[in-house]
Amino acid sequence: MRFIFLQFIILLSATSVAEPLQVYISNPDVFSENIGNVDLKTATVNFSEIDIDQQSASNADLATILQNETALQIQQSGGLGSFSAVSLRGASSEQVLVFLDGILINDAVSGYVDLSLIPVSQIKRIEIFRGSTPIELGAASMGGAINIITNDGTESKKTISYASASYGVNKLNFHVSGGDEKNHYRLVAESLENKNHYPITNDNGTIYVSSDDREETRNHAEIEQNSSLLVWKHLLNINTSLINSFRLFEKKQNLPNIANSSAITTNLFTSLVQFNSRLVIRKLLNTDSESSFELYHRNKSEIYDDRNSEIGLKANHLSQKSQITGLKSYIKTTDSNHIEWRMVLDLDQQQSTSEDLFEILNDVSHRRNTAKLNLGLRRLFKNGNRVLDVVYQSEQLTDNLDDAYDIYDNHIPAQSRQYQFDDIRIGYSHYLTESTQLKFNIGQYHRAPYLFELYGNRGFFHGNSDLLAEDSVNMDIGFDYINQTESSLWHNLNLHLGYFNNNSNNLIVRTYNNSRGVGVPENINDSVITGIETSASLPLFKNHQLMFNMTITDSEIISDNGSFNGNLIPGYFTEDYLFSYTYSHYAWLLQFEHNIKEGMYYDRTNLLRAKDRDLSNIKIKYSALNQTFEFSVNNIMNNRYEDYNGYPKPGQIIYLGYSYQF
Amino acid sequence: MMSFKNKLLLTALSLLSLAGCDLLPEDSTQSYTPSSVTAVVATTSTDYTTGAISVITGDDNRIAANELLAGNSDRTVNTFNDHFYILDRETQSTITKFNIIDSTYPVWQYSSQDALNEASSTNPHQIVFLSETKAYVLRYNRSTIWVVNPSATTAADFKTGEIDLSAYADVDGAPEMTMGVIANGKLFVAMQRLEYWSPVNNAYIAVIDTATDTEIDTTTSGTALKGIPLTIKNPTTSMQYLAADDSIYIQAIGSYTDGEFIGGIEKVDATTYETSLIIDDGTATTHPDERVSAMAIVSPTLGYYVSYISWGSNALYRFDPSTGAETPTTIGTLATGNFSNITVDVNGLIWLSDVANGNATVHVIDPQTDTLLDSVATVLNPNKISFINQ
Repeated sequence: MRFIFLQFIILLSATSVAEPLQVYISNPDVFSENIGNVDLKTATVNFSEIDIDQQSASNADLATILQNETALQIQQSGGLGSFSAVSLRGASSEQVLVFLDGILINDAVSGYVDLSLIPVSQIKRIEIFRGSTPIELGAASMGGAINIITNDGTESKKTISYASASYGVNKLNFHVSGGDEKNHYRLVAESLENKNHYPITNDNGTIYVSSDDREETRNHAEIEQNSSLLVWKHLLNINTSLINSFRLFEKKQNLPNIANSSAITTNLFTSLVQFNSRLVIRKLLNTDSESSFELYHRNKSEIYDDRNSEIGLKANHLSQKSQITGLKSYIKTTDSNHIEWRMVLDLDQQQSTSEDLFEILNDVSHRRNTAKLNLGLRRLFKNGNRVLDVVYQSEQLTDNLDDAYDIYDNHIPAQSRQYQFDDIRIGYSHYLTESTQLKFNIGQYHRAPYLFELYGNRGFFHGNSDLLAEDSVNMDIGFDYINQTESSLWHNLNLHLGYFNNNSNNLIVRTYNNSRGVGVPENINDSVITGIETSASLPLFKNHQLMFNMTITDSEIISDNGSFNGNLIPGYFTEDYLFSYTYSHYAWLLQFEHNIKEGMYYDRTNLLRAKDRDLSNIKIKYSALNQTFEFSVNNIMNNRYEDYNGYPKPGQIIYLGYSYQF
Repeated sequence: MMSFKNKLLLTALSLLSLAGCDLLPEDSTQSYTPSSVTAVVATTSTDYTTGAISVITGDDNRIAANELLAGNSDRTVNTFNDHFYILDRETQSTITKFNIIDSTYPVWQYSSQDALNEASSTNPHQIVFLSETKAYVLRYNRSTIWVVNPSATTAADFKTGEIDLSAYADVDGAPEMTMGVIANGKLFVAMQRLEYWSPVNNAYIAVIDTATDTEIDTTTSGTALKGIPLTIKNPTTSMQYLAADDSIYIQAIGSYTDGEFIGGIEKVDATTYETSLIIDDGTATTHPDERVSAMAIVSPTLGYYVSYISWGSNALYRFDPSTGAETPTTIGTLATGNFSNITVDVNGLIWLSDVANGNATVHVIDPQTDTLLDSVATVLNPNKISFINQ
């Protein structure tokens, strides 16, 4: 099923009048928890929001929730709970910043965020910022940002939910929240098990010979994870509150090999402990001021066990430990000219240690100290009809490599390195008419090399301490239209059209000079990524909702390397179409989605093209009397795909879910 | 599955062959003659995500057909008569045979795994040919060599026997057999014997009688290991038999650990099995040419080797194997660079794989005069070069 450009849709809500496009209406906020959060009311950036339906069984992981969002693509190495990385507007996962309640969780060691380490049951909503990043997050990147909110709201409820899905998925979670005028707590606990026993076609490595192909069950891909989150909010006085969160996470994941052997033992064990404490103060400087001060700490430990060399080129048994401790301060005040001034200062130190559990090679440890200062002014004209946003970000990183050794146990003397960036971002929004809003953003960004890129990843690649930072200039312009004429047939017609252009330089690519399998990161590529994003909705009839999203992206690698130059960037579909129909009536909800993705290559040489995607999903939900039942089928046609070449994903997945609210 | 682009390229080459031009790039005006040299090159993208094949033809003004048969990046290529064999190593463990005249589809593709769903790949490093019906597959991650029939028409008939080298295995369970040559009816197999990539053990050459497929005891002392112990450690890239002096030359990189120089070039008499160190990469204090990463022997008195200075940095030397005397090449543009491999063709010309970023070139050198004859772009980084009918 193919879709042509600009297909109009019919959106109807059975309840209240739809909110004006991207105007955020804040609710009473007794704990002032929105202070320090992104002010979506006046932000000039292009963003979208997802409210998480906690009772939806098919929202089993973050990858499933995000994969149909505009300009956002997810790559997953297998079934539910497998490694998942996000790409936004063509930027790689190392270039997309992921925040958890406003705190950056991309670590300095590897750079990317594995979304499978964030349980959906803890999430209240997700903000996706395409391109430019609001100042409140305190950091900006070439690809944009995702902010995952877990500490929102003051509801009181107790629920227990259970979901089961194909191939051995069982998920149980428990949620309790409540409180009084001065205290609110929320406790979420979840246990997820996925046997990942989905069928795959094993070609025995003989890609030219189909007669020896076999249908098999995916072997050695089981996942078990347990997590818990405790959020406690305390009102100290009318202007001051404390918001604390404490989370634990543990995951044991078996890692399959390409031959799909059941005899292998390779696995990865991950554990995480995170603590955040935010002090929110109104009127600290003056009657209009808002401020927050957040202390955070995270401990992450990973043990990778491939001691029999079943996946990698050589045997590995590694422990990687990292800790980050930081303090993030946010202050906002408004002067007599109605200019909002914001300052965000984020100081953190990350320490990481890599240990060879064979005890053959020496330990390696490094530290990165980061100071990010963001100063911004936001000028509202004519009661918010026009907004000008100017942000200056100064970032300084200091790396210290302690006495270390490379993969051949060559000594790398202790060394220090500093990066200093000064970037500016400008955003402008303007209601051209009551119904039409223009948004424009332009900004410069830097990405400092991550510690693995600078100093090597024991057993996998060398480091390159001469690496330059990646840099880019991003621009986007968007138009939003919403018809607010109540008597009109087109009432609440909602259109978005956007164009973006990202110019990046000094992109870091791991290069290999022979077939020894050990590489070195180098700055060898530039790139230009342009794209068009569009969506449309029109509410007409009761109970029916149709939605359409489309993203078309073009990219070009610019490189002295002839095999890369002029090619598309890898790992990103150039065309992405989503159609969704929802019918809701009383306690019932029926939803159908169809998604088409085309034009992805696995590689920079553009010789290995990925299969185009054609996916259909259906969901039926019944909610009444404190209970919710759900039946859904993802990938109805059971098409099989690989986000990572050689790593098949499941085909059709059937979900059954039940939730009870006490 | 072959991409559409590769199918198109191969189809074009096949059509040319039907027109009597054999395997030639579309814009070539030369015709293939038995004395011409056709090189088949295993190539890899700089980021190691993709592998392909280049075919270089012509005696002068050589032309390459590039980015053919794209797929696995960890691959090498061997040739025998008018066929070339792609060995997809660590991730695929397969051997695929193509006819150089018509390469649209393979003649066959067989797995080198012992059984289905094995825990680790076999990582086939080389197929060494005795004849059209007998060859040996050196499997890096295993202790046994496969004896195979390259003319088999079914997978069941491909493997005809095994040769056990488990006596040479170390703590990681495999002797890391990596290269082999056939001389005087014997198969000589070089084994790295690394322990988790560390060259702590002596490298060995096992000698196999190709008539009986049994190991020959080359020792006189009756030691447990029958093969030839080498002075140098960690043979990696080059092993060559020179009929002119009935000798096998073998290169070893030694160790990548700072201050440890245990590699070089060693010569083995194919009849008496006596060894002699020809190029010593030095000591912790004296190592002017750094390590030896690849070698090609033209004659008993002339050869070239590539030295490894550091990652991405090599130098090219010309040397006399009979004396060990060496000099840097006088070809200015090739004195230093980033070279992944070197070999010699039937006409005695040197072929050098250049992988400097943005280069991806095969250079052809006249070793007699130490002059550069030709440079051919391969788009992807060239590695192993093999020759048809050589």
